[in-house]
Amino acid sequence: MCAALFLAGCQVPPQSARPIYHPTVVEQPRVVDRPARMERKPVATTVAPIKAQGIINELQQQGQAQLRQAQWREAIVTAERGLRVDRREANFYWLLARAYQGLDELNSATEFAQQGLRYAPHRSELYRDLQALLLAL
Amino acid sequence: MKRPIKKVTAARKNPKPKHKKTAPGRRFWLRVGAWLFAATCVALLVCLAVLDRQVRQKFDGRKWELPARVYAQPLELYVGQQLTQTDLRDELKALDYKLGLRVAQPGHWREQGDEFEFYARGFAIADDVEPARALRVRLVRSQVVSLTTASGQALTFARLEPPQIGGIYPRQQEDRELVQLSEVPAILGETLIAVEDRSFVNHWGVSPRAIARAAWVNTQSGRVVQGGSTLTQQLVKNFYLDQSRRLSRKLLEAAMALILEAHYSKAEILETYLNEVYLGQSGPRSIHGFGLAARHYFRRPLQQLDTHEIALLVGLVKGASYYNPWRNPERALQRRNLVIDIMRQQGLIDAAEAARHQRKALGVVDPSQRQLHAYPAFIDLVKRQLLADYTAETLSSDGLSIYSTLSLRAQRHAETALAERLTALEAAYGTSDLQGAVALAAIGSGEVEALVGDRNSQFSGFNRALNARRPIGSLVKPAVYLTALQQGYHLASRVSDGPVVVAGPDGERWKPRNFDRQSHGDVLLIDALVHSYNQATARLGMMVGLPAVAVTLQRLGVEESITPVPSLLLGSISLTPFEVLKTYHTLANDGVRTPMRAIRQVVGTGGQRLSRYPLKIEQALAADKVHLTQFAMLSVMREGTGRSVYASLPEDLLLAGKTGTTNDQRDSWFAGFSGQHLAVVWLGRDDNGVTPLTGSSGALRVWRDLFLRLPTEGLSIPAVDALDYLWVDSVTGAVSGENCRGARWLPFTQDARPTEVADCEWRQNPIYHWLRKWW
Repeated sequence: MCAALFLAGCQVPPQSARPIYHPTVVEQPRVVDRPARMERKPVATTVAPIKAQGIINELQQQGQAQLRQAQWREAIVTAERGLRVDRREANFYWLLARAYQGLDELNSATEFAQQGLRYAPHRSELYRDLQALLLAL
Repeated sequence: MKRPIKKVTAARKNPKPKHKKTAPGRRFWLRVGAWLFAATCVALLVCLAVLDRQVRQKFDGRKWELPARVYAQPLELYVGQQLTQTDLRDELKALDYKLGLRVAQPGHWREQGDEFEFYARGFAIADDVEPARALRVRLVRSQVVSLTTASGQALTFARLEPPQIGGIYPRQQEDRELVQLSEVPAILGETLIAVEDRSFVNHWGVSPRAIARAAWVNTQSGRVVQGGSTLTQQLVKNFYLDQSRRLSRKLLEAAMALILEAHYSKAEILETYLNEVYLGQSGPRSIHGFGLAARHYFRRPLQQLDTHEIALLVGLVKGASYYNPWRNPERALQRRNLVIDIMRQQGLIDAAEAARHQRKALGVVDPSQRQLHAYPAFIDLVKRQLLADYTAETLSSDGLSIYSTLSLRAQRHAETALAERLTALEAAYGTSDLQGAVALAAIGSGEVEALVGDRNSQFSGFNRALNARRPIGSLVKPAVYLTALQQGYHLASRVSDGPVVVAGPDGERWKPRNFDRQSHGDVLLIDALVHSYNQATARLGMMVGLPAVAVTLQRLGVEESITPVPSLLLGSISLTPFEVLKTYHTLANDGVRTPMRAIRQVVGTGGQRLSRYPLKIEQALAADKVHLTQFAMLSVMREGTGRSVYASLPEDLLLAGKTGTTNDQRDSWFAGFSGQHLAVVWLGRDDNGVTPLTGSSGALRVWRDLFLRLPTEGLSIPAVDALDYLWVDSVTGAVSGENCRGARWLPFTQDARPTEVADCEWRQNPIYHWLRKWW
């Protein structure tokens, strides 16, 4: 039992918490007790206290409406505007992939769908949509 | 006897022989005269026909070469956007918004505490329309926290109009902004006619009375003090002919004026005159027409000018240089007031109005506010990228509107950082003639937001950002380590930093040394990069192979041919700051290569979109390996050669970067990025002389000054399944634990990670440590 406890003290398996950067050699007890693997969703380590979620949501809705009306080029402009706000927002890559698919520019569509997959939360609906889109391309 | 009589009779009857003697000469000359007259008439007719054709051809066709206008990106406003109060204030000033107590009309703004209220002018770029509206923006800690209309309705998004930052001009540097007669204030046309040609509506192009009057006045005064040219003649002179005063040229001018009047209406002639007339100079660029003159002198559209401002413009027709309101304000004021007097005499305004306008100041803008030639390095880049799709002639003559990616605030910060830091460095090191360049891009979009090619950013000479090709030194090292990571190394792999000797193909021996002239034994791969150890890097590079390093560089975006020689590993390859920007962008953008863009779209004179430059991406390198490299570059900033930035920048702002110094400290480089922005700085001398600067003591400081001013978000390495964080021993690189002395926390990919387990010297009692985890 003691041996197990000792081992637990030495080899802490990575578990939880947001990514925290600790590149320096550890010599003192750490402030964070449980260093662990990163969360699945990308977390912006940012000095900004407010996320620009309002514009992101609106641009996503606007882009989807443009896709429904087959306004492919307009949807591309909207998605690019969204990526200027948050370059890792997977929804905008999905928009781009769908718009380029509509324009029959399949290489571009594939690139953007793959890029979306890199940033989409695993097992999310968006992830599945992007996978399905890639299969269709 | 009959014969002689007969002869005489015959002779009398027919005096032909006598006549024959004189007639041939007279008739000949008559005929010659007739022929000459006819030929002259024909020649005149031909000349007139040719002239007529010339006059109509130019008047009916495209009258002018219209330069392309280049605009910066519009300032986008939304809740959550990072924007300082100073930046918003400067943007409004750059767009000539007027600061006041009330915001009643487009172009006005006020500021109260942390809230800005302004009436955005609205604009349209092709089918993209932004309405004019009054807005309120609150900024707290360099961030937009609320955005509403003046009535308090919440908005998610708004834009300010894009400011013009320059143009691409025809060879003769003529610039104009075309106006239609219907857009011109009536009082402008009336004043122009009153001052320049009162009989304009009545004459046929030439006014004999005006010529006679001018001749009389000039004879009386003994010199040319008055001209007799009508507006039509002035137009002909400026539009078709040169400025010479020969009699033949005056006759030609008169003939062409008559032809012009015969074919075109007075309205058409007046409109052309309003757009043609020369009204000033801005550096090498000549200002033609009242439309552009209004913006040049008052930075407002013609329609918004007041009467006294119109009077000044009309006064300038007589001599824009002589009456230049900046150089000769008193002369310009006298001329303007004379024009106002004429307006009163002609009944265009009443006496009270005239007196009121004459009391007003000239009202021209501060000449230092003229920004049209403020960004030569960036305009140079725009031209280069456009030349792939447009001819030089089209660019300088078709009146295109080019919407670029330049961010006014980023550009301003980059210029200030470079100029001020170079001055400080020269003072600190007692040196002079240092030069530099800065290139800055938004990560992801690849949009170039700032480009500075000279410490004097207004100077449009050698553009170092695009043309100064220099060895990049240690900036190449991330590519070496990335190559190693791709080949199965990990950040905790051990590599020797002992002395290394490489034999070249010609038998020459290459023996790189560390900057501190010390060897550091076996070090972890991450530490070799963090401390920029040359010996470890050279050894590692030789182990992974020069061709593999060259391939990595090409995948990152280096387009130059790469010679795979050992010195490549320490940065013997020469690149421009802009090429380094492109290469590092792939690193900052998670291995995705994106062309660096300076243009978003091009719009034609009719408002139709001609071309867009959309985002293009290509996954050039494995994202997880790039993330490891980013992690190592974060460490460079925390504990390596870039750590001095945190003396000024906030601790929680995660930044990654790499310094670079070349032999004899001839080049000082730094390339670094946050989560949003990537910037590359080069410092050195134009003659490639030595400097007292390393990458850390030179370029890094400029970069730090830039990021001190530029609102940005920290870098985050995305959490992906491919990455795991493990505790490893900082000496051996073997797996360790959190409670083990000398343990450090590093990311690893699934395919390359340490397998050996290090001995553990506990930092605290393991039971206590374990219990602390639970409580």
